[in-house]
Amino acid sequence: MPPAPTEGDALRQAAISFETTALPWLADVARFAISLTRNRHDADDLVQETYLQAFRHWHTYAPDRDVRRWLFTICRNAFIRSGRKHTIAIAELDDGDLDAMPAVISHAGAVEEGLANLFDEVDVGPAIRKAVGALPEPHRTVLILVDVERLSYQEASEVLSVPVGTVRSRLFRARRAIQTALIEHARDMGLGGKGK
Amino acid sequence: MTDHSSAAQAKPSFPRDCEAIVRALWDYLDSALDGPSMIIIDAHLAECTSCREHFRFERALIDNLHALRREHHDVGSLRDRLIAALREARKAPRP
Repeated sequence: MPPAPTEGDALRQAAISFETTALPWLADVARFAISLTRNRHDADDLVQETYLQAFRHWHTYAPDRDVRRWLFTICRNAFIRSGRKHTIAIAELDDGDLDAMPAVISHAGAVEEGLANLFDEVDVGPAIRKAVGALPEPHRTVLILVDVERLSYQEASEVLSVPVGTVRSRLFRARRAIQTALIEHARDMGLGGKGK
Repeated sequence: MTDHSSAAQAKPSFPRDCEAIVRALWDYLDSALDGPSMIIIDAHLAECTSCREHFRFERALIDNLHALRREHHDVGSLRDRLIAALREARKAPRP
């Protein structure tokens, strides 16, 4: 009969389980942490704190839960608890009803200027990175969770502890800001001009 | 078929059926509408050139944002640091 597992065995097993389940999401958590802290150094500290917290509470993790979302929630809470003094541009918290209409109107104007094929004609990657970096909180975090990490509105609302409607309105404002920045970028590159 | 491309002025107006569609475009792209609404928009986009152009543009925007996830994000040194911290945490007595 094999010997009964010791506490050390159980801890080793938990560590293996944690490393194989949670560590594969390190890049995702790091990306989310940067969206919160806006700099790599603070983000690395936040990621470490997130993973240490997650490991300490690994025994509470239910295997059927989405581990990535669980880590995002811990990361967000750790960020709030840290109380670090960041120079974060806080957007006006206007959570009024929004829809895609303003963006579509903006696109219609861009089409008139000859920018209909913006995404085909311009390498928008650098402009998108710049525009995302310039987004004020809390819009940037929502955009990272929904558009980059592909969480649903509901999942993002659970990570951020805000209502779904708030996620939606912040997301739409963020998208509109990115779209406006891309259209301006295309104009700066001399594209379009038909409507001028 | 509905075509309102000539309406693309500074403040374009949209035919009533198109207006409802473009307002819901992001919710549609995020699959955040109920089944019947998704079907109605599917059908409208299949017929309406102008709304389909808006849809393609907004989808390209979201696809390009999602592409940020594929960018190389070097977490090698962070991973090493993390594994070392986790091993230390394992050694520490539990509270």
